[in-house]
Amino acid sequence: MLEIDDLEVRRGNFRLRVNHLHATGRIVLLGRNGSGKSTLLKCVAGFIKPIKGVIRLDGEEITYLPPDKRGVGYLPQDTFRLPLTPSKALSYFSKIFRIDAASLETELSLTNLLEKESLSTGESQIINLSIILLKKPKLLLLDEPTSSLDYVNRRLFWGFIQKLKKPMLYVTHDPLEAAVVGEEYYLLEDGGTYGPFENRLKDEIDDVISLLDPYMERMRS
Amino acid sequence: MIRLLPLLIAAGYALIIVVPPLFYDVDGIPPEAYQALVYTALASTISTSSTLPPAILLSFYGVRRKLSIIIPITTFSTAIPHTALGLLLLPLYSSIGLVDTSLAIITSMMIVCLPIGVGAMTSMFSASNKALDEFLQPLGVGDLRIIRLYMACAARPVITAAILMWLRGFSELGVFLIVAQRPPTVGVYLYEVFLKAGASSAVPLALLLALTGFIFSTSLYLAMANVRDR
Repeated sequence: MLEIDDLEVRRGNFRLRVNHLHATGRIVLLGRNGSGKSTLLKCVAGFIKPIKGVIRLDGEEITYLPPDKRGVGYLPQDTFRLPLTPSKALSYFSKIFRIDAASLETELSLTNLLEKESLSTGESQIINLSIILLKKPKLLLLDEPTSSLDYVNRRLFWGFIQKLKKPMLYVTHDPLEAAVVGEEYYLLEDGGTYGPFENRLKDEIDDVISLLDPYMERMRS
Repeated sequence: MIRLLPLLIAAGYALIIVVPPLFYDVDGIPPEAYQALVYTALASTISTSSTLPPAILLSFYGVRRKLSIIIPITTFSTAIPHTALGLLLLPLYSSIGLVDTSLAIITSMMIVCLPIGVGAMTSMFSASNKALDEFLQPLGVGDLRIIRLYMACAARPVITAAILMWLRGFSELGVFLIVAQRPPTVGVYLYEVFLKAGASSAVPLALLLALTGFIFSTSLYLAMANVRDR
């Protein structure tokens, strides 16, 4: 479980305060551009040091630990492609981490993706996230992972996220996306963090999304 | 019409260098010139291949790991006239008996190549996607592996850096005049021919070098057109 208390982060003239935030499931950080969502995520990942406050993960304080000692996985906002085919990428990192990728491939139904030579941006994000999962992090940090994806790829990625049973902080500025992926959400505005709010659309959102299925099918074909 | 302008400038640039010597009263090229040329190319290849890895490492840490002080420390020598750089190296080379040796030539080339490599690779790392680094760091992937993945993603800037370094080593003269006139590199050889026998003997070799440079840069341009970054 992630716990953040009395945290203050500064970037230039911008200051973000988090009085209290705890995350056990899929937690969405929702806010407009420039509200500090990515700043908070980078602070939890260890790329930005806070002015004050405490970050704990599973009871251990990680506030000033370097990124590789925190037990987190971070999927950045900017998409990138690894210079390897999907299957080679997974086997390359499974060798580095000394972890067998076979069970993950089955668990996440990656077989079809791994057979491809080149991937769409959305599929690349899924493979990148799978590489993070290989390392078995205690917490996933996803920084607007669908911001550069088209709707078809977004749906693909959302479906993947819903299958995961990992605590995560998922950043988005899109309330619809927040409703699809989040169990709870925090709102970031005016340098403050408010919440947690329950995702009351959780049960209806699949019906709302399914209204767009014809468009989805058309795009796919 | 405006598209013609850069073409005219490029053509004018090349013609100013190459055409007047063609009408000059010249002698033939002595056979030792070819030896000097091959020797210099070989020395520059050795120095480039030894200097590129440290240049990549320095620029990665300079840009990506907040050790930016590395950059001015390793590039300040570009601001020094190369004869002065030779004079600064002379006390060291004299004390360890390196003056007028191949090792002096190769190490001098490495010293003048390094800032070029660091400069080119610094631009590459500054312009490249930070996301890959941010993705790999929390996973505990080591810096050397991160660098290798960056290199695989950006073959073109790495090749460009290697080319610039090779050309820098190949065209060096100032340092060699002070620390290593023997065995003669092509620059030193040309300079000596000019002093002893005048321009009529040196100009044909200069033209040969210009031709070599043109063939080299054109082949690299064609090769680069086929290299893709991921």
